[in-house]
Amino acid sequence: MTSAIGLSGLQKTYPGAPPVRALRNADLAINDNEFFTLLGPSGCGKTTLLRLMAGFEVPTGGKLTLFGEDIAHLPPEKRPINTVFQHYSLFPHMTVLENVAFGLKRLHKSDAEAKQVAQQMLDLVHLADFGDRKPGQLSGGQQQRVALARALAPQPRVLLLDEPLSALDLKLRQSMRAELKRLQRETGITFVFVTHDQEEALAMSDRIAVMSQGEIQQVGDPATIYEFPENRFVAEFIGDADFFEAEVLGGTEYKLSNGALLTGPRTEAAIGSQVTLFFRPEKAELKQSGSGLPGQVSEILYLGNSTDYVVDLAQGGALTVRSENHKDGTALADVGADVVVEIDPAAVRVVTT
Amino acid sequence: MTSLRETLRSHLALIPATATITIFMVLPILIILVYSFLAPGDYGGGKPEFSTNAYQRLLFQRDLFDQMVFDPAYLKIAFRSVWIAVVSVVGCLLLGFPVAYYIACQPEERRNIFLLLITIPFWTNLLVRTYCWILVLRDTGLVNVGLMRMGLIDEPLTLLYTEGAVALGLIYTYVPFMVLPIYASLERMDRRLIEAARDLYSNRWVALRYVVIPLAMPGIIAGAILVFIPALGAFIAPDLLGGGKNLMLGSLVQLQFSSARNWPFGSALAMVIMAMVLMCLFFYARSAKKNGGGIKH
Amino acid sequence: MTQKNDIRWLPGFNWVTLFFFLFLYLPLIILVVFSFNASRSATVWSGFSLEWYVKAFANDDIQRATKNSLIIAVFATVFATTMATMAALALSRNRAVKNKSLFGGVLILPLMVPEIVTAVATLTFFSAIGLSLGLGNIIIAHSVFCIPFAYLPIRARLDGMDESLEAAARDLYSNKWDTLRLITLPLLMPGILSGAMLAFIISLDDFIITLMVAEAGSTTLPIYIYSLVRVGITPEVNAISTVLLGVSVLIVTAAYLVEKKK
Repeated sequence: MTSAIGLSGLQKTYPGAPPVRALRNADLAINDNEFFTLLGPSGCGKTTLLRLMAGFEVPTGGKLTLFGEDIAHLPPEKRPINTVFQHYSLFPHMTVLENVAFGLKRLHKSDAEAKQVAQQMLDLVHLADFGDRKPGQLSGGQQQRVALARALAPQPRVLLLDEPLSALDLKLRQSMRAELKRLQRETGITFVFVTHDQEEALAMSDRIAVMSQGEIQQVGDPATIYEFPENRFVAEFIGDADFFEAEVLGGTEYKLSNGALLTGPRTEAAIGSQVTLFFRPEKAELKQSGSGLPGQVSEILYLGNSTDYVVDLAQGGALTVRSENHKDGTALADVGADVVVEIDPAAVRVVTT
Repeated sequence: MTSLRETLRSHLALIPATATITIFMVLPILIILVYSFLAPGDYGGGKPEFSTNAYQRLLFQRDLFDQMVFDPAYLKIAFRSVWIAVVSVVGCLLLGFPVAYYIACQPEERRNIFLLLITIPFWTNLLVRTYCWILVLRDTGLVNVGLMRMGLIDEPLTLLYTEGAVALGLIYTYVPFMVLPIYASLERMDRRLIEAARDLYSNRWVALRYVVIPLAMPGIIAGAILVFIPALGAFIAPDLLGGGKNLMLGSLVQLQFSSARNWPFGSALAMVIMAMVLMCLFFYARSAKKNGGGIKH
Repeated sequence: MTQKNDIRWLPGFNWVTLFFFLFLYLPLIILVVFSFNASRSATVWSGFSLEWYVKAFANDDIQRATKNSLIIAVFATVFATTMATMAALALSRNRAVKNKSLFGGVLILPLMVPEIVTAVATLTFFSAIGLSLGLGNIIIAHSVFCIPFAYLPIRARLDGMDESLEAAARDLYSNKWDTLRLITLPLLMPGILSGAMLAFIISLDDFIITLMVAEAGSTTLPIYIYSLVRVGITPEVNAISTVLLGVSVLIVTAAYLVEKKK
């Protein structure tokens, strides 16, 4: 099966001194009918990649295909790809209906047909009665949905969404997540979603590409990205993690840099070599006594559904344990309490730095 | 690779405006630069022979015995022009800054009304507006009649046809050019910066001195240039309010091209004005570079 | 009028502002009041009269000068605004254009050269090439110095406009020309209008360049007014100026209200 969007060795370098390499040798295949997310911090190249797909930028090297067809040098109006812009970019001098019908008219659909399809699209985003308003008279969330309807109306093969939820407040953002998932399912259009919000990415995506410094770090489904990050950047950027430098002792045994011993997964690294171990703070357990790493609680951060305990280890260093509170709402330990941190070997991962 | 044709095509839309200005403004200025090195023609224009007479006349005069003697008459006019222009800039700044600041601190609705009020007088002919100052300033004008009725003075003060009257006319004409750029730089200013200064133990005036004025500097410099350049070559205000004895460079140039019919000398005077303007722009460019900005084109 | 609780408040600045507006409007008030004066005097009020309005409208010279001024202003505005719009679009939107600051500098050059220099330079140039087109000479000269006045507001509007709107149009299957026609120009229109209005006033108001460039028979309103003002006879001038002022205040206020309604 040919992928909806294919990149091979795609590059974008902006001239300057020194030149800015916004995208370096990206290889990626986005499947048809997939909710695909480009995730990364600002400046990682995700917006550049999106603009290359939309046709607002021309790549400086590599291939960009849409269902197998090379589109790298097509202008945006020749690509059956539409964009939902970050700040919506609704045409302020046109009504909502005219905005939604705009693309259809440019594709030489008759006025009647354009109007009919546009109205259907407004129905789809629950704004059926807003067609005669101007964009300025709508709330942020409504503008957002008009932008969606406008981009979906010409029935593009791929829909690009450039941080479309970033300008909305929290509650609205959460309801729009479900709305976007629904629209993707109902229309069957491939969605390429750009965001820097890891929670958003995990919640919505079929697959995620994590980007950093113009390079794609890892591609995978949300659970794989979270559970088995391939490098330290991905592990750090998505979720929270405790890191340890350690020496491989052979088998499943590791010696941490503070001298403590820890059992983890089997590794192919040579005995005596240095590796980085990490685990998710919710996968460690805080005990009063027992086997594990002894230490003292130095700080407590109450998060509502859980609590973070910062533990100063007896042998040096510190780590964070995230734990649910007792059912009656009391804490597991107080500041200053002596505790033992128990780490399940199955929760420990070895990553390259 | 961009070919010559492509370059030409992308610049096509720029050609009409820049070519018009180049042909009808830059080229003419270069022509009068040439003219300023010609000998005066008998009936206006210039004779095609090289001569630095026009520039010598700025400082020297031929006496009865055909000797070149130093004559500061034109130098005085040049100094007076610069002096009056500087006074006008200072006057515009003292009047314009508080106004710009006051407007910038108003709610948006009211700011727009104030800006509208500043632009309305522009719609009335400058000659007429300047003429009205004659009615205010002359011996039987509003000021003198008013002061005499109040018994403050017995004889009318000489207000009209003084350097002061010219400066007043110039300030009146150009003060909006000072207010608008200062307003533009103040309007964008974050009021939280003033709050921060006040929070850090500055009173209102200290905050003005160390926060507001430095941030308004690009606007103040732009305003000063926008007032100084036209004031230096002004014609209407000196002509109507200055009378014959307070000649400025602008009127002198105009005289050479009309009744005096000495085009090379007029051209040389115009070049003197241009040199001063270029000096201003040079300093402006330098200060803009230092401030890392200035007016964007 | 005062918000003394405002952290930015500076005592006295309100009085300076009040003085500023009195200063700005004093001549206009005198002008309007004495345009209705029954006597020729411009200092002594001797009763209300519309005599000067009647005389001004009946004056052939004023009519001819007004007509010349309007013809020149209309042509110069159209030329300058068209050229300025094209230039602003190229400088703000075309990435292929090199040396943007050089071109930008050329466009605002007429603001940097004192009028008197422009005036004598244009006179010398026209006489050197023997150009003699009557009003045409003045229209050319006015078009040149109107360009920056039209250019600056248009450019400012363009720079303030969200470029992603044009990207959105391209994304929705508009080619370059459709995008210009359907999105850029409609959104740019307020800038073009204020640029054109500015160019129109500047042309209508210009005196010194017109004085130098004008040939016999091309008298404009400012030149005619100057000839009257120099001898100090102005009741008709007051009247015609008041009419112009009234018309322009109406236009500007209407434009402001329309803009505000949006």
